[in-house]
This record gives sequence, structure tokens and C-alpha cells, in this order.
Amino acid sequence: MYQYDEHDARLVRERATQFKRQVQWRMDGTITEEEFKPLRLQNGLYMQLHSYMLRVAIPYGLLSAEQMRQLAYISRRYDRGYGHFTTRQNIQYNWPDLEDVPKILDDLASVGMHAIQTSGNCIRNITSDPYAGVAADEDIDPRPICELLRQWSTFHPEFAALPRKFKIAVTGAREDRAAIELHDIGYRLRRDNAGLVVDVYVGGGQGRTPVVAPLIRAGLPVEHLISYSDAILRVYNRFGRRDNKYKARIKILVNSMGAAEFRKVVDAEWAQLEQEKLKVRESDLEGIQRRFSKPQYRALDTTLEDLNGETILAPEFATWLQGNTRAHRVPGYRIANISLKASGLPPGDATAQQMDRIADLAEAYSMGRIVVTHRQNLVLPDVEIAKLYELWKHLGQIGLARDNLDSVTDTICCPGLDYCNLANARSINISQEIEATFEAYRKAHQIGPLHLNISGCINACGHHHVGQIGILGINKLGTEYYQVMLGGSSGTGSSLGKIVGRAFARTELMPALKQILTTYVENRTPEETFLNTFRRIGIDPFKEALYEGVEKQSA
Amino acid sequence: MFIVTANLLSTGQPVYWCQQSKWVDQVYDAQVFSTKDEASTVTTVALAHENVVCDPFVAKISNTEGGITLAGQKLTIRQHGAENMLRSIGLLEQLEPNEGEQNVSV
Repeated sequence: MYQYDEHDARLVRERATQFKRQVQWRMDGTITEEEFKPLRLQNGLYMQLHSYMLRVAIPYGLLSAEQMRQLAYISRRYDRGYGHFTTRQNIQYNWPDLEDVPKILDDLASVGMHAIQTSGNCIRNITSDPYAGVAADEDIDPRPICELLRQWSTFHPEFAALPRKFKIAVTGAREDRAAIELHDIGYRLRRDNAGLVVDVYVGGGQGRTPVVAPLIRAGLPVEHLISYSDAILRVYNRFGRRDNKYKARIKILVNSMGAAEFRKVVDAEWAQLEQEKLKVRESDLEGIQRRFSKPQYRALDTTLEDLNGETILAPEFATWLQGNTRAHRVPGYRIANISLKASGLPPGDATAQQMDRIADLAEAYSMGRIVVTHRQNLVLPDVEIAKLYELWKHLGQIGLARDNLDSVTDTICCPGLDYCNLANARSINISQEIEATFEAYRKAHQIGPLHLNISGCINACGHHHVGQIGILGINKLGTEYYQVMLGGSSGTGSSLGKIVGRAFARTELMPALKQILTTYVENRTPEETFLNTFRRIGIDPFKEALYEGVEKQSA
Repeated sequence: MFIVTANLLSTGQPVYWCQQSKWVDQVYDAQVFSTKDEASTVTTVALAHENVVCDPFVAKISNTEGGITLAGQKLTIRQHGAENMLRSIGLLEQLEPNEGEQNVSV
């Protein structure tokens, strides 16, 4: 865990006090809604269809058990007893009353949390690999760099009013679990002969214009990370379009200039910056590193084979072990994923009771640490292999022992038309239908890893462009339809999904998805994943089977 | 036909402008206007209630035969609440543990 210093602690307390005054002014009529709106948005407070929604930042997704308990307390005290974990590793509360929001900010500040820069045209919460610091395939732990970027970007006066919102992701692993090529800036940390370097991807994103970010600079020494980031943001701030919000993201600028020209302009800006002042010194990173609590690993030689007894005793444990745990860099330990895709519930939701219990389990089994993933699940990163069975039993007690990680029922899903002012179609109920239709099917047909992402509108909060199966809700003359795309991926070598054809009515959607899965099963080679089958055979076999099959079933 | 609606400043709950020149939470009690211009005029009046509601706007209704039916799915969902009611009526806490699990304590 990163421990705030006194400066950060004061900063979040003062922000809560400041917002208390602003809410008071609004409620007594001193300021209008027009004047209040930018102030509330700067504190992550939105007005949605039925109520306010407060978005709380969880920097790089990392939470302590104490923080998780406070999130549970807030949901119970001020909301309706649950929280919604998001694709930006944040948490949202859907029902706060306006006068309670300053109290919520006070309670968050007491555990070093806040809602600063969770909305507005500024640099948003920095996201990262949910397995950061523990992944077996990691070259560099990205969290100190994430924290450095958080400190640089928080209340940065020059970048408080950018043309549009700005999202940064960082990874230090070989496999990209942070979707860095789908961010305004994506940083990949690695070591080469020059020491610690970073590859800089700029201009990725989803929304109405999905783009996989081009590599703008490879092998930038990490000491220049802040000055180079400053240069990128300055170029964007100056040349990004402010006349049209749909063309205001940096991806449009990079696209219109071309990656090579964009780099030239950034380099020119960078050359005239006072780089020495902005240099990241080793001592800076060491200082940050010291404020992260160090996990105390024990010397263990337990392996998964040592759990053979338990897996025979409880086959459900065996499937959870295989599906939901991942390799840890320290022998004797395993990364345990908690799926928040329980039956009949909105993806990403956790009740106050579950949050409290997860905090207990984190303390008992994972050195008090919890991580939120961009697929809207949670991670206990440091679990001793010998204790996985116990952990699984505890998770089962609170309905969180689902073994569906990275499967077709582990959907990413936005709140959709049920909650969101921008949505065109409902998405939560589609995710629930998918769960009801395909949970048994995926096991019977051994469907394997398959990311299915659902968005209720073109803004793509549900990441449909990078779903291996992506679903986009649209509105045709007042009726919900769903457009299906295939072959997207946000992993290493990201790709955007291709639209299969005409959109499906809600009643057609499940038969269509079944047809897609059947086509995969019929065409796959042994052990081949959905994405690899799609990449090998292309979209045509799916297209043919899909429209012929659905039309036959609808006839 | 049109009505005027807004969200309560205190909670964000949708409310509707009624003939008694106040905000009510039932769409059935809303004042119905025959033209958008007429409704827009009231929106201006309703702005005097700015520390009670946020952003009043005119909404179309499709018929008034058997009561008021809002035009469009978004307004209907806004009126009736989310289809997934688990999130709004506190049923989440009643979830059953996964099948086959025994009670154990940490």
C-alpha cells in the first residue's frame, strides 16, 4: 500500500472542506446549477437518470483492507448498501444525497482516498496492471511510476482544463493487462542497456472513434518520463480541438497530424522544456518506493500439486483454482481473482457485506491488499498456495467463489440505459441473460478464455470495441437493438472488433451469440482460444453461420 | 403534448411540474401542455425553484388517454426506475452463498 505523506493527506482534507462550502452555496441558492456543475464534476459527482452518482478514485486500483472497509461503510451509511467497481479501477456510488457528499469525501479523506479528477477535462485516475508487483511475467513493478504520475497530474495547473478528458495507463509486464494501447497515453516499462526505459504509446481510445495507439517513442529513459509527458500534454493542450467535443480527444489530433509529425512536434516542445528540473531522479523513485508497504513473503515450497487432495475432494475448487488463480513471482504464492460476475447481479457490483468480508479475507490471506481490475473484478494478490482452499471456502460463503474469470460470462458491462443519461440501450440485463444462457454452455463445450464486453452506447464505457465478442446497444426508432462485433482485444497487440452485420433485436441476441460460440467450437483446433480461432479463420464463417442460423431460428 | 420534468437538487430523484405550481414525484399528476412553447414558458418559471431542482426540461408524452405515457424508453426508465431493481431496493444483501459451501470463519 502507498502511504500518503502529510502534503497529500492535507490536500484531500482541504478538498473535502472546500466542497462542503460549495454544496452549501448551491443548496441555499447562492450559486446556480450552471455555476455548481463544474464544481461538482471536479469532485466526481454526476447527475444520472434517477439520482446523483459519485465516482471515487482508486489510484492504479490498489486498496488496503482499511480502505475497503471504509468503502463498505460509505455504501451502507450514505448509499444503498453496494458499490460498483468500474473499468477504470474506480468505485461508483449510485444513490448519494447531495448534502451527504461532503461527508463522504471527509470519510474518504480519513483513509487517504478522494474523488479528485474522477471527472472533467483533466488527467483522470492512473490505471495499471492489476497484477502489478506480483505477476510472474513482470519486468518492472509499475506502481511507483503510477504514483509519480499521480502526484504530477493531481491539480497540475496547466492541465486542469484540457480539450477533453485524458487517461493514462502503465504496465511493466510482458502481457498487457492494462490496455495501454487503448489509452490517451500508454506506458510500457522495461529494462534495456540504457537501464529503466519506457515505450510511449499516444492517441489510443475507444468511444465513437476507436483507435489503437501508435508507438510514439520507444526506449525513453525513465528519468525523462515527466518532462516528456509534459511535452505531450502541452502539445495536446495547444492543438487539440476545443470546437467539437467529439473530435477533442488526443487520438483525433495524433490521427490528423500523423504519428511521425506528432512526435516531431512533441520533441520540439520537449527540447525547450527545462528538462533538468523535471528529471525523475533515482532518489525520487526510492522515496516513493519507501512509502509502499513491503509484502513480507515467507520462504515456501508449496506447489499446486500439493493441493491435489483438495481438488479431488472438491471439483468446484479445482475449476476455481484453474480458472481464477494466476502464477505469482514468489514461489509458494498465487494471485487469486475474485469474480464480481455473480448470477443475477450487475457486473462489478459488491455489497457492503461482501466488501467488509473481502477486507477480512485480504488481511487473513493477502497481507491486507486488494486490487480492482479493469475487467471489474477484484484481486487478492499475495495468497499462499497452501491457503487457497480455505480462501475459496470463505469466498463461497459470500457468493464470490465463481470460477468464471476471463470466460464468456465474465462480462465487462457499463450501467447502460438503466442508469446512464447517455445510454441508448440497456446493458445490465443483457449481461444477466448471457450469464443465464451461457454459464452451463461454456462448461459443457469447454469454451475457455473469451472476453465479452457490452456498452449501452457509442461512448464505449463497456469497452465493446475490444471485446473478443463486443456488443453495442443502439436505438432504432425507439427500440433497443444490439450490434455485434468480433475479434477485439485489449491485450498485447490490441485489435478492434469487426462488425458482423445488421444489428439484432433483443430477442435475437442470445441465439446470435449461441451461433457465434457454435461456429467457434466447430472450427477450433485443440486448445485454440476463441480469439486465435477468429484470427485464423476470419469473420466470414461467423457471418455466414450467424445470419443463416438466426434467421432460421427466427423464422 | 408535453410536460416539464427535472431532478430534485437534494437527491436527484425525477420530479414533474404540476398544476399547483410545484414539483411532484408522480408523472400522473404532471401538468400537460399542448405545445412545446407553452411548456418551455413554464420551464422558465420553474427555474425560480432552482434551489429545489436541477435543469428542468420539456418532455414529450405520447398520449393522455389512460393517463400520461412518456415518449421514449429513456424517460420511461427514468420514471419507473431501473429494470434491474436489485440495485435499488437493497435485495443484494439477501443473496444466497454459493451452493455446497459450508460456514467457516476467518
